[in-house]
Amino acid sequence: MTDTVKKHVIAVLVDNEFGALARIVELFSARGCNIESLNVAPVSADKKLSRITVTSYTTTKTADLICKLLTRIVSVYRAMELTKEPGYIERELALVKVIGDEEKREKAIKIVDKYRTHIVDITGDSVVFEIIGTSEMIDEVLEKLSVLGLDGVSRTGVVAGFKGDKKLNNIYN
Amino acid sequence: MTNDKTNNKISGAEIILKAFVNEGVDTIFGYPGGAILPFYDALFTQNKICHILARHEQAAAHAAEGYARSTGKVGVITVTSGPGATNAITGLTDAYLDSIPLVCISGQVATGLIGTDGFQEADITGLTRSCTKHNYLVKDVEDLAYIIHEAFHIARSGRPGPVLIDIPKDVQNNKAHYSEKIKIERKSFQIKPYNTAVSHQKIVAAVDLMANAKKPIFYTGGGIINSGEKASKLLTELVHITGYPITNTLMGLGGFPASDAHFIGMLGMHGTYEANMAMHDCDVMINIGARFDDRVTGRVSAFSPNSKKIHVDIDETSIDKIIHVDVSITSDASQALELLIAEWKSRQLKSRAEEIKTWWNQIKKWQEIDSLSYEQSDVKIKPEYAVQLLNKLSYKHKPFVSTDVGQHQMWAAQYMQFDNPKKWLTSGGLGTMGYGVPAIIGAQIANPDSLAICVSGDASFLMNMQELATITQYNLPVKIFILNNRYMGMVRQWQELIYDKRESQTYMESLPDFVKLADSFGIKGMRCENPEELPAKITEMLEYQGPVLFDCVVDRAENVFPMIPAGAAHNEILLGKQASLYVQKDMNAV
Repeated sequence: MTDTVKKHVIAVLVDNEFGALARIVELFSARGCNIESLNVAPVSADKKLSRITVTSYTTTKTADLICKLLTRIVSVYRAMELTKEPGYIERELALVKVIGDEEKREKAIKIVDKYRTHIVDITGDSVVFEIIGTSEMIDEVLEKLSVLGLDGVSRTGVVAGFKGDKKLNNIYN
Repeated sequence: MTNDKTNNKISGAEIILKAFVNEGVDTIFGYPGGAILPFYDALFTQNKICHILARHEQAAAHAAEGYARSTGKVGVITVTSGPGATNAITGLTDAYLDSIPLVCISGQVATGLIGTDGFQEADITGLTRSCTKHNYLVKDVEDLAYIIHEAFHIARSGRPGPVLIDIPKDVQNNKAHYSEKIKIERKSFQIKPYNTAVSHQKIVAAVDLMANAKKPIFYTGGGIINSGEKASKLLTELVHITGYPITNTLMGLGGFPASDAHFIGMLGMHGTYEANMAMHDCDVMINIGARFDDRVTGRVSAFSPNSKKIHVDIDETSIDKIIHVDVSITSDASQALELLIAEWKSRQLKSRAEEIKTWWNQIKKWQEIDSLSYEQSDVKIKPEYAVQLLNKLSYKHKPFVSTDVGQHQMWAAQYMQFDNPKKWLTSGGLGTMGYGVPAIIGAQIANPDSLAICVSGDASFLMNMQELATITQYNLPVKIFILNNRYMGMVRQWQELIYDKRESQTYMESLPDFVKLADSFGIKGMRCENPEELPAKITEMLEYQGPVLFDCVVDRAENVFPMIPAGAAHNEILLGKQASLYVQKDMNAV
């Protein structure tokens, strides 16, 4: 059971300093683990603390080992695999561009209408959408749009957390 | 000039030296070069820090390791940019795997040249990310002092390890204020305070298991050594008040006195038969400061299948990493030992040696197999005999002993007896050939009045033999004892046993004449090819007032036994020809 490859999302709270991200990414590559998506941004008011969210397709055993090794890194406060926890929620944002005539644009708008979408820009021959959802939902939309032809896709990758009052870490303990 | 005086600012290079002094450093190992000239210039005009010049930066790193392991202090190396720094990487990786506290200062090209493929430029912070506990690139001289103090703190705290600080040349030249040690404030790197970490429940759970064990065993490692002499004393006390057998890993030798009857030898791939069988058959395993390394566990699925395991380790991430344990205690070894002893005593428990008599009798039966026995010869020198003799003749001096890597290393581990911690210096985790000579240099520098011996092999010795020049320069009376079998012995052994004797690239053609080599460096060289002459020659080596290079020509065909082949379990251990004859006799007799 721990040997099947599945999607794992690991969140890491880390000091916002140069080299910290490189060290964390190296842990994955050293194990031959491909990083499907990654994002990082400061999350504290003083900007000294950053949160990195890594999505990787790997076995649970490898993901657990990586989490352990991440906590050994000096700059890291806490590392946790999130998908196995109850109350897990994830979101991703994609900016998608479709270039074409009015008919093509209308078809595209019809497809994305079912999802949480916002038109960011529309011109005579192009439209840019912003789509928010789980990464599976975004995959679904892109697949449907690709029939028309995608002319530009930029995704943030998964950001994730928990419902209710569950926290990743009490960093002031 | 007047401005500088009133501002009271000093150069980055001087800050480094002052910070070293404030950290208690008195000796550093290194090799100069262009990018670190400002530091070496400041070094020249001071006299608080002594610099030992190695002949290769890898050797400087290993010397700092030998210094650190033999004293418990942080080892310090200073190297230049580019090749100087990359040469040190092997030493840093070695320290990383064996948990040795090191701080490495590397020079770097000026900040404006970084990333331009400058002369002797290398992205050393990038290269050492995975082999250091932490590393820094100092871009502003104002940050330098804090970084140095934090680096020392990280190197020596928790599970010790190497830290690298890359300092560009202009940062070494720029000036800033600095006077005293700065308090470290990094929240992310939290070391648990000494007296609040361990939960009482865990200690109770551990002692519950220990007090009811029928076949207990202590399995202790490098964590005892790193914790200090106190851990060793407490461990000895705990073993005596419980009356339980104890085995050590390669890195843990000396953590418990080898001459004590409770010690049943080293365990692992080349450990004793009794130690490995006891680990396999035990019902309670008490691991203090060891990490279930693959040389110890053999095939994981067959490792000690019927035992409950207690694991004390300062590094939380080492617990439940490979082997699942039943009671885990994250703490420094001394702290956990104190609590375990107190709990044992509070239950009015005495030694349970009588209660576990059946277990001790079984262990004694395994010991009777005498798994370390070998066929003696009066024509050729058996390497086991050479090391046994070396131990016998040097034991009373309580020497520091370093080794390189291979068969000689295993024989040294099997036949040298260590009753005290910090005397045994070997590359366990990384297994670095070329470690032995520089490591013993570091140990001798730190302990000038002690006997210091390096047991080496002919293949390993060649890897860092340029350090003979360092030995001569500082007149270090080290004894380098080469077990010369004209082979890369351990690799040859595996090729014989597993690759059908296909000896691919393991024969050492064109070895130098070691005696002439020693002479060319101004060192006394000795050779022995005859077992009858060996005792007198070893005595001569040990009594000589100065460095000695001893070429001990040994039987080429000898293999290290016992051996648990890779992928096998503990009870699939292979005994040497003589020992296995004994086992067969025993079975027939029944």
